[in-house]
Amino acid sequence: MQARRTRNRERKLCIQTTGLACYGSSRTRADSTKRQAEGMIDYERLLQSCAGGDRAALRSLYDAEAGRLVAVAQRILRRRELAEDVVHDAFIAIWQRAATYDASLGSARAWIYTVVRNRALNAVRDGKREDLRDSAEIEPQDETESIITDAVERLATESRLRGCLERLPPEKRECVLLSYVTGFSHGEIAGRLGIPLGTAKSWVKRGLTALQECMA
Amino acid sequence: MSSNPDHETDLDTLATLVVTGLATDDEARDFEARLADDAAARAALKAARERFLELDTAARPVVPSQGLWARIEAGLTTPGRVEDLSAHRAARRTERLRPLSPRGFWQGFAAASVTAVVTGGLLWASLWPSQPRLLVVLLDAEARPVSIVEALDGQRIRVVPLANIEVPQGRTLQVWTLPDPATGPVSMGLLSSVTATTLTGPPLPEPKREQLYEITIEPTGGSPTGKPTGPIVGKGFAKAPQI
Repeated sequence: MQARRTRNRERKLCIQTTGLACYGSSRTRADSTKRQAEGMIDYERLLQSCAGGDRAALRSLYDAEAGRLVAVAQRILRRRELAEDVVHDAFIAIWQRAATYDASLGSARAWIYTVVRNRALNAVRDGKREDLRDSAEIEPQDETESIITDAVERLATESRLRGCLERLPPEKRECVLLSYVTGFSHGEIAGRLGIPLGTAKSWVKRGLTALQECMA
Repeated sequence: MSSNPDHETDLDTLATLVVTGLATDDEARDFEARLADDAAARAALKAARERFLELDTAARPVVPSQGLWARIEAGLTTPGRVEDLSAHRAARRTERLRPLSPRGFWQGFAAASVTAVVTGGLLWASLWPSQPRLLVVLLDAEARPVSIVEALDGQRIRVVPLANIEVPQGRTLQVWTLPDPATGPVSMGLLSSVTATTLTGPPLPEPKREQLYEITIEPTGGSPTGKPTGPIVGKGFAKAPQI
């Protein structure tokens, strides 16, 4: 009885925002939550369903990944609302272009993260992060440090990536993490490490190459 | 191409720079151009993406704002109306390496809403000299007006298309309404052609303000389940004319 009332209320809300597709989608969502709990999400199949117009499939991707995708965008953009704007746009793009996903360029999950990362990096290039960085109050000096440290510590202890990162000389490791995790440009890396631009470029390149060889 | 022994290394490094966003515009463009017919470039991009993916998937998740999903859902376009494939493919290439600016969506949304109101108002004035009971402007996911529905009584509606709706072969448009949540969606009929049509549905209670109307794309003959299954072409809530 209670469950039915809750479902009806959810459905009412859903109709306001979605439309009549709310009818019949609730079971799919329950299933997807269960699959998620089992850690068995078939990202490729969900993308195929999105391409076929199944909104519940997009919702499943959202339920499974949105929290992490916002976090990834926020590491680059720092501000939560900018990160959510990027994830918003990325999900629209994923919906529209799900049919163009190409497995020969990486896993479906990697594609989803690529869409978000690229949009976040693009927003940085549009100057969104610079605005923030002018203000020392909003961007404490050590925030970058804690972001990249946390990113490594979150990796599983047995992770190969973690092992390889930890084997890199500290300055190369920092270059790699600043470029991937916080989306820094060569110039920003040089500024942060207090080294000439040419040196930054060379350290980044050597760091990336060493990592690649370690993981090969 | 060249048989330079460093060729593969260069390719991997280039792919990595593209993935991290550190490639120059020229490098990214050249790399992108190679992807179409260079399997080694594709493999390098795939390897570079997978190499770093764990840094993303291990990120400490945050709880997104409550309204984020609703905002996303409001912005979804109808897959049945996807633009021609070449435009699509061009967009895909852009997406891979040089994503479009995320700005503009909400600006577009706001502009489209204004257009919807203006267009709806003008059309209504010319088409219905006598006062209609309730009017619905059906908007697509980008808030572009696709149709007006006039609720004539509990059984009949008049549908006037405002946009050229492309219906894939073997499909038909089906008009729905939601008289109340307990009843669920009710079909008002099928649209065989995109012209002004009066449809007679099953006898229903008098339509109410804010009653939902929706058009979906369904298999010929109508939805096999009796409920909407296909992509939404447009939807809107009934309003009483203020005259």
